[in-house]
Amino acid sequence: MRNNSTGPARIRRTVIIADDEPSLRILVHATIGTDDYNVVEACNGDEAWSLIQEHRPPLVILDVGMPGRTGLEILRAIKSDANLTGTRVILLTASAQESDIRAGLVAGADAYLTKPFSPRDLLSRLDEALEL
Amino acid sequence: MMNGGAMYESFFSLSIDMLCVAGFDGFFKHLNPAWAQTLGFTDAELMARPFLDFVHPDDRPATVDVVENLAKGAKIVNFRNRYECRDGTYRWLAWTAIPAQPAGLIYAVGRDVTQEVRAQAELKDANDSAATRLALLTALIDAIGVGVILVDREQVVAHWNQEASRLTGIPIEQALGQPTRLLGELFAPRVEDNSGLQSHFERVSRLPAESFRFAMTVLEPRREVEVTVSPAALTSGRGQVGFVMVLQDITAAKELDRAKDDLIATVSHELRTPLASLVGFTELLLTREFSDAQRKQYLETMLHEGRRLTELINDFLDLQRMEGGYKRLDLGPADLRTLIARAVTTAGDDPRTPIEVDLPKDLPLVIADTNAILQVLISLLSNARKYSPGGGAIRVNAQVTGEAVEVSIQDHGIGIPPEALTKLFTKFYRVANGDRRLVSGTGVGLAISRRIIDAHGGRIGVESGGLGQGSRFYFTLRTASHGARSGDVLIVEDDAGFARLLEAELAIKGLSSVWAPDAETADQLIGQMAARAVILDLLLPGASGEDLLARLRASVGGELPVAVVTIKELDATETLTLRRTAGVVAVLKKHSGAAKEAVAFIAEALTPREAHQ
Repeated sequence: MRNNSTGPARIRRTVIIADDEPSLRILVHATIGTDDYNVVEACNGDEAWSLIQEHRPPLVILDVGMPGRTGLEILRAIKSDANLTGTRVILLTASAQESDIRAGLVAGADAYLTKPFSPRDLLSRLDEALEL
Repeated sequence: MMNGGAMYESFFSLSIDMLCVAGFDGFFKHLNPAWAQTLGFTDAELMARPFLDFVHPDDRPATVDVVENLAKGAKIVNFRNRYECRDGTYRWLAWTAIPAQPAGLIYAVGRDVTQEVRAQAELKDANDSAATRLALLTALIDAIGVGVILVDREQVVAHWNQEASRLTGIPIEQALGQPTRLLGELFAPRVEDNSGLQSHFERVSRLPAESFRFAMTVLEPRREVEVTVSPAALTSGRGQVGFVMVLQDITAAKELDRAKDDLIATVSHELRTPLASLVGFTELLLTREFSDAQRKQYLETMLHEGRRLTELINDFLDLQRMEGGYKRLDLGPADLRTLIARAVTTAGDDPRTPIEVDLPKDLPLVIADTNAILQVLISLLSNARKYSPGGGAIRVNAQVTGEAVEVSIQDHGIGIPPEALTKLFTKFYRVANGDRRLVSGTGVGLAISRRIIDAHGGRIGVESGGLGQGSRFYFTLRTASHGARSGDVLIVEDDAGFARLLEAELAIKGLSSVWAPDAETADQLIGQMAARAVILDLLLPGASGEDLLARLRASVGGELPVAVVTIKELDATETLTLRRTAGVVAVLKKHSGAAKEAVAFIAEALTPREAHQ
């Protein structure tokens, strides 16, 4: 599901949520889908990557364990792409394994959240990442 | 000066060897004192009886031969036999003898060699037992399920058992006699990542005084091997005689470890995802205002995810049960039509994916554990529905193929890619595909189904034209043999243990039996088999035994003897009513002796009937 509706006069910032679980996409969408953000959904890694290149969004929320390209692979691709220096990344992971978290931070993630997470926490990570 | 005779006599007495003059008549003629000293008999005693009397019975034939040879003029050297002593023991004597003809005498010198013979015998025993021990130990080393390499004090491979050869791929002939410093080179080409290996083998070739272990990955076929090196010391603890390397195949253990890690990761991942929705939406709904439509969508998502959690937990419980094994199946004739109907009822109605059952009229009974097969059917129906997001009818068919019935469940769903077909029945395998991931599940259901069908001796499989082409799952079950369908007594009993007890008791009376675990199967069987009697439990799953009894009466009439055995508490009126029911020969409370009693009543009821015919 893509939300391409243009809002009122204000500039809405695009956030891409990539997760293979539809319920998680709905949750993230419900949490941050306000007038300030234009939420775009991707249901696998490959779709996420093409949407990222299309939108060059200020923020991407990536599930680590997606089919196709994993969240970590996309994170590394973003960090090595000169056109995407302004893109911040929040990782979502269903496994609370230390190694995953470390790998995410080493690869340059701005924040990570372990499922289940509090929507309020997601919002504060989002604010921090965008330095609002 | 002594004369010749006196001198001869002096020397004769001086000798510590046993000197004697004996006659071919079989008697000693002259003996020196050494005889009395060695054997304890006086000269008079020794000369009173034929000398053969003093020879050990076992040695007499050989002694007779020797005397005969002497008589022919032969000289005898180092002939050994045993002589009796006064105390009843025997002593070994070694003889040198010459005949003196024509006087008819034998001159003989005997020497007591008992000590020497004993020492030799002991040595031989010791050698024998050492050889035996070595043979036993070698057999043990070869038979043991681990690889064993023995290295001697000279740092040379002294033993390399079959398993060591199997694990390393190095033939025994190639390894035996190799110095340990060359072992590293022998192993290197067969081991993955052999960089660390050289240092281990260097340590080995320094004749390690302490045990240590290391692991290596052997290639072709690939396996994980753990090597334990232990010094071999003499039992006194002093002096190292070499060392032992024990090679253990830890591939299976490693795989089990990995599977366990995978399971933990899967459980953690699969539980966290639905929880994320439940926790997240609850918080959102508590803290923010949403439109009615949004609230409805979020609540529906929560419900869906909550159900998914329940399903996950059920799957894990099933998995637990599967790991425990479906080894004990309660097999008996079962009516597939009933089982399929029950599974369809459990699956419930969904107009988008209606379940159409089309079974042949004369479907025979199959041999099955009804609960287990019900679980398989429910699992396959639920899969067919889950993987038909676009809807479409689900068709359940059955067909008789030889001695088996094949049940198939065909859907019009998203299908299965060819590469996934073979892996589908593996634990936790789920097709990695965007569409499929929309469907919840742990990948346990099919693995359990396969275990169940395997345990029935049947086959389970799947066919699919590929993605988008739908899938057809099928399994086979053996048909109940005709013999089983024409037993003497129908046992209607949901408790498999008690049913077996009844079967055994009936067999003692020479009566065959057919077991129906539920009322539906019993109804089927009554129609098919010519049962001559029924043993009936009143408490049956989902049906009443009383109703079944009434149907029995209606279909077969009052002739058929029925023994009622039940744990149900019956009051006096109920018991009386049952007793008055036509054909009922006994109403028994279920206890350990009830099987015997019920069978006795049935046997009695059947006997006069036969007499009349």
